[in-house]
Amino acid sequence: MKAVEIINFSTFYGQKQVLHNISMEFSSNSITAIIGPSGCGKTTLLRSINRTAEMESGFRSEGDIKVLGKSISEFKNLSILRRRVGMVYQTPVALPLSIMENVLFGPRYFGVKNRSDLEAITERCLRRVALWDEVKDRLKRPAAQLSGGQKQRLAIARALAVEPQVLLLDEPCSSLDPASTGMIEDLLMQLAQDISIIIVTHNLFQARRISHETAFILDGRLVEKSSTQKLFESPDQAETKGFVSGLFG
Amino acid sequence: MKQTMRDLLLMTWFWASGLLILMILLAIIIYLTGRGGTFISSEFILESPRGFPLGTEGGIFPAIKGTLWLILLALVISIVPGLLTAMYLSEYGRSGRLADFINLLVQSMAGVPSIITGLFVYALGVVTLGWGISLLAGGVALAIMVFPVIVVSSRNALQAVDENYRLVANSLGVAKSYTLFRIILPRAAPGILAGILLALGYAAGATAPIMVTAAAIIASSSGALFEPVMALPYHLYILFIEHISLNHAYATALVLVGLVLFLNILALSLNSLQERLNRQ
Repeated sequence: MKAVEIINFSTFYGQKQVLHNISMEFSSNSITAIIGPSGCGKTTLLRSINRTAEMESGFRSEGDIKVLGKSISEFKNLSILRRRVGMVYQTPVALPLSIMENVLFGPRYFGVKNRSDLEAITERCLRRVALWDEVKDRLKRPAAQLSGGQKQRLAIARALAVEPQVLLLDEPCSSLDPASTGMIEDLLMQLAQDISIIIVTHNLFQARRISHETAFILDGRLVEKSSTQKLFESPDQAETKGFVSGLFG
Repeated sequence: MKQTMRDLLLMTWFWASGLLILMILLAIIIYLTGRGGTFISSEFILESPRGFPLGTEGGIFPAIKGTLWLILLALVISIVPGLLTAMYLSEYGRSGRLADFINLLVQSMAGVPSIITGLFVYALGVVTLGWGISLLAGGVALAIMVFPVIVVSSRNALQAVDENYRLVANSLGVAKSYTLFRIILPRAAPGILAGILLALGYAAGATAPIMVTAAAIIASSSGALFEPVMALPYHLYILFIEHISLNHAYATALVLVGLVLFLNILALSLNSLQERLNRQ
């Protein structure tokens, strides 16, 4: 079963059509990068998968998206869908709570009460994002004190704490320095052994470094999706070739 | 060159306006202190009015107590509906039609002259429901008057909380109420509290709504709901209008201004705390 299947999917904001008949699949245990110029609809596509796009007024969609085989429109309870599909945003956001409570924000809501369970979740998630050693002595301190790169890893840990099977990332490194970016790329490659990762990125080098497959979107249309190596080295479409070689974008 | 001249002119204008307002405020306080300051004593603060006509001697203790009772009651009555309305507007209704309508309603409420509010509560509470001139009627009138203030300031404090928190929480699949109580409300608390204090200051100084609903020339202001109370602004009004004692009128005014100033300074310091939080 595919982690995410997008079938003939179109979206509109009011009269304006943003995405045009997009169909593609995302495999489990892999990283797929979505690239394309600003305003091409990458983020809208990402936000459609966990149904946060529809929170904008005037949003409307046609077609279907299936997450782990189940159509997202069939989720009457959005919290179940959003538990399965985690999301990390461009701006590193630390909730105004302690480091530990940031990680436990989701689990506490979903009913984990036992103290040793809560501690185990905190340690496991922080270890998965390689943040544990840096913060284990100050778990009760405000997360606002962390650096940008640490906050972004904390955001990933917070998303992982509710055990998603798909993780969506919307340009997670665009405000980070190269060292922090490298750490996040390493941990995403680790995470891809267990879950499906879909990352929107402006950084073509990043797409090339970490993703197994890459999709190129232009003006709301899927131009091409193939293995990352093929897309960058011998793309089928002239537009893809132009974009990856830096002719436009 | 022309543009920088314009900036300079505007800045001069801003400063002049600010200084003018500051000077007016200072002039009021200095004048009141000059006219009434010497009459403020422990006797004036802690004793009941005496003498003939009443108020020429003694103090204003029941009026201070009465005003505190009135604003406390107004707060108790208005805080829950006020906060709930603000939470709906900021977190649930957002830009929906109902929210637009409620915003319009709240705005209109804020525009109702306070004497009208007073007369409404007089007709409904004092007469029809038989409360009589009472602390309860005054508290209700003041509550209606400060309700829009509490709604608007709380709504603004809630809306000023970083939108990213809502986005992140939402994408974790948690309910809005969970985010509201764990993140948004604690974050907005100083701003909400500041708005409530400002509303209290506003209520403490209001005369018209209590004139016809709660205030008496002499009362013990024990806190009993169905008894009339004395209140600082009304006492001041009587002392002045009946030519009872101008000295005591000025001293009463000074106490009232002091109380309102204290509430406002408290609100201001909470507001600056809120701004520091929002920048974090």
